[in-house]
Amino acid sequence: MKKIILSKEIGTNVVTRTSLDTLFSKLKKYKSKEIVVDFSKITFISRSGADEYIKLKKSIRKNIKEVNQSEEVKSMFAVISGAGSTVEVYSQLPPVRINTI
Amino acid sequence: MIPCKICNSDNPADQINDCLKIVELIDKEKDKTTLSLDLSDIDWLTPFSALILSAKIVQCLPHQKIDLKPPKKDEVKSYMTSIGFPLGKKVKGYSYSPIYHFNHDAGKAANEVFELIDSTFPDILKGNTVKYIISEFCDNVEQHSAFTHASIMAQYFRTKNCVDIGIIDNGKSIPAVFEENKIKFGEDPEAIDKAVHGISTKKEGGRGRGLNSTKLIVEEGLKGSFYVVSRGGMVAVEQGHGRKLYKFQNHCLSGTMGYMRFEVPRKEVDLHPYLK
Repeated sequence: MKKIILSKEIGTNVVTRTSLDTLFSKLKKYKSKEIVVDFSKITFISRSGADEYIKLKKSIRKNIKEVNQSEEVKSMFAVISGAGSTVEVYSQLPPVRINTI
Repeated sequence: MIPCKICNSDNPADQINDCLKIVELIDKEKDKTTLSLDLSDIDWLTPFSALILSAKIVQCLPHQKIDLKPPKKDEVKSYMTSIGFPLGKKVKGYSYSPIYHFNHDAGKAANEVFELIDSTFPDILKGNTVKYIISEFCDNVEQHSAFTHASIMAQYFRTKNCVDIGIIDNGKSIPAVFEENKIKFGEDPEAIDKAVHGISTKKEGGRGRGLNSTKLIVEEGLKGSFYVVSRGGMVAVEQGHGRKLYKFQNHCLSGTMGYMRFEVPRKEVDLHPYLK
């Protein structure tokens, strides 16, 4: 089993999707099929970061387990897991006039 | 010397229009060895005007020397000093600069701004709300714009007890990305309006939420104002005025700027109702 300290790989804030792309490219290369991602010291994960993490985790053929997630981080993952596939609200909006400057 | 005239209007769209005009004048002088800007007649420089001009000036720096004639008004001069205009470098007397310029790695830029927030913002804003807003904007810049230069500003104004946050990039604008992806729209402000309300060029589930959730957090959670300018248009969502669309008739922004202003809330805003 391989253990990754996430804060050492990408810092204490998980902000952009790109940072996770880099991390998962590295995880793919490990021979071990079992990987533990340690979230200790991660103080913030963005919605995009959590969304990308879930997508990339599904895309690689390894058993990845997360440990030491703070309540904030857990709740962001919970929001992403419970979210539907679309948030398009534009069609429900009343039309507005365009002001020319 | 390029005269920098920015109107003292209550409508941010008018000031942005004036800044776009100055940016176009700067572009016309790109072959000159020195870029000379006359700031002396600026009576009032809003943070978003400072962000637009500062971002443009920094992009000229590798090729041109910069010569700035300072503003006559002491308040304007003092404000420019306080933000380290235009370079955003840390200035004497200030531990952190509110403007941060970058040309790659939006995540690193966001982390720099998080440090600034932790050092200079009120405790109530040191949680995840402001960090969420900045991270979603940074992710949008990285994912959609193919930028070569971007600038972030985050500033807490102690006397007004309010916060301004802005991010500008020189990449593909929202209307241009919509055109590439064959998403139909009439005029540029409509493309921006669609993007702000959840229509995304990325087809996978989970996409198209960043800008929309950020707008909801600012508008409903923080009771603030939210602006997105891209190419020839702007969407403004202001307290008490609803959503307004503007089309710039004679000027345009090469890229996108998101900008928001809100008063410091009395209690921490819970993000989660706006993310679902």
